[in-house]
Amino acid sequence: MTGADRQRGRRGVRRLLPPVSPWGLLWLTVVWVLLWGSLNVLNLLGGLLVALLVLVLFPLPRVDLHLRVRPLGLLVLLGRFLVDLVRASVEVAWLSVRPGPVATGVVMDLQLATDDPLLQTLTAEMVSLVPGSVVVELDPGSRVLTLHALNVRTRHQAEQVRHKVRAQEARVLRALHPDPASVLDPRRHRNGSRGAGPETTTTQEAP
Amino acid sequence: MTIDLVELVLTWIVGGLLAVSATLTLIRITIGPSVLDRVVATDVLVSIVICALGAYAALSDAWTTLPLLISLSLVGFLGSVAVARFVARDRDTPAPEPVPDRLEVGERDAGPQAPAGGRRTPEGEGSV
Amino acid sequence: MTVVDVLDVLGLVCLLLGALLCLAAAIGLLRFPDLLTRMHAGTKPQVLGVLLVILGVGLRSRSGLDIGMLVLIGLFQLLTIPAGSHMVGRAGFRTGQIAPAHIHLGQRDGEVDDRPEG
Repeated sequence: MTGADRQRGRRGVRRLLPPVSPWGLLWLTVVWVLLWGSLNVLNLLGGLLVALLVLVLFPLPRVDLHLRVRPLGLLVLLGRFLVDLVRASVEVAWLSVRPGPVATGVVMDLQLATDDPLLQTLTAEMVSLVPGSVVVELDPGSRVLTLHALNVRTRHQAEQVRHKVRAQEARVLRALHPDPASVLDPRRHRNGSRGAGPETTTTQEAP
Repeated sequence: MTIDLVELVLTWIVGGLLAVSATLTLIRITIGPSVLDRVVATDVLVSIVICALGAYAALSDAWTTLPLLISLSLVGFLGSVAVARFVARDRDTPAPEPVPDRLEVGERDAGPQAPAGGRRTPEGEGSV
Repeated sequence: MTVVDVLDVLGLVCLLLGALLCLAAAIGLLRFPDLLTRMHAGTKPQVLGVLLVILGVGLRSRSGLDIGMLVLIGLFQLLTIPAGSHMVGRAGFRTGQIAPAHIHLGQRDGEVDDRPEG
């Protein structure tokens, strides 16, 4: 058996084996062990078996991730998210229990900076997790995010909400995008927000 | 001793708050007015139940409820997604006026911002 | 008062705050005028309320695998809630279940609406 033969043989075996990502295997095993709530050999082996079965039987399409994780950016992203979460929760809680007129909201559009669907989704998820803004619609193609913001009455306040969402997106990009500076370039940003699509705001009032 | 007393009082306060919240949420589920309102209120009720189970676990050292919490937090959103999928033509509340330009799901010809299918007042008509 | 006591009381405070958020959400659900504003009220017990309760449980449990389970709960909650709220919000928006009047902010402020015609 020559070396070339052996190599071909190995590649053949590799082709026969389903493409299982080791990270997926590890993650699913960890989840399995946590679900059982105790770490022992049986759980570990069972978890590996189940993870392998899941990954082989339900293969996911390959996603090409062009991400670069920056620990510092990630830390800023998560820390700021927690602060925003607490602050916005207290605000919305106050709005709902304060005496006087009830709060109303507006529906508004805004233009995201990135084309990457994953980063857009991440931004939208974080925006909708923070109380005070609910994502209504996200069009990945035109990068238009439609959201409903609470307690916005003037154009200035609407602009503030847009600014907040853009800052959120900037934090996501700085944490995960390979080249955030190119996307967040202010010139491109201005062109994008003025030229690519209309940004409008509609308010609604209580009847 | 004092810790025990504090714990007892706080336990009753937490339980009372959650009970009142659940009752108020049930009122919203009952009065609606639309299916989606009820779905939102049901989601809140699920989170109140999660909070209550968590509080029960913490206060009575019953850690067996944690798997329950995991399943609730995993499947809690499925109901609302399922209802939202099929509610696009919700007729629970009769619309006060006919809506001529109801946007079909998946269509976006009316521009990114048209309040799609929204009930528009004359003012709204003028500005959109 | 030992460290354990302090952790126990901190856990109780977290539970209390979570319960208060639930109450505020329930009141908001009843008071807010339309679907989308009610969704804002519902977001906070689902996110911060549950996270606080989980933190409270973790502070009182203090066993490694329980905490792992609690982290899983928080993670699942954070992953699934936006999906549900987005679907509901979109369905509500598309079926016109936001309050009746839609007015441009620019007109209310007497400002010029600088949006391109489209």
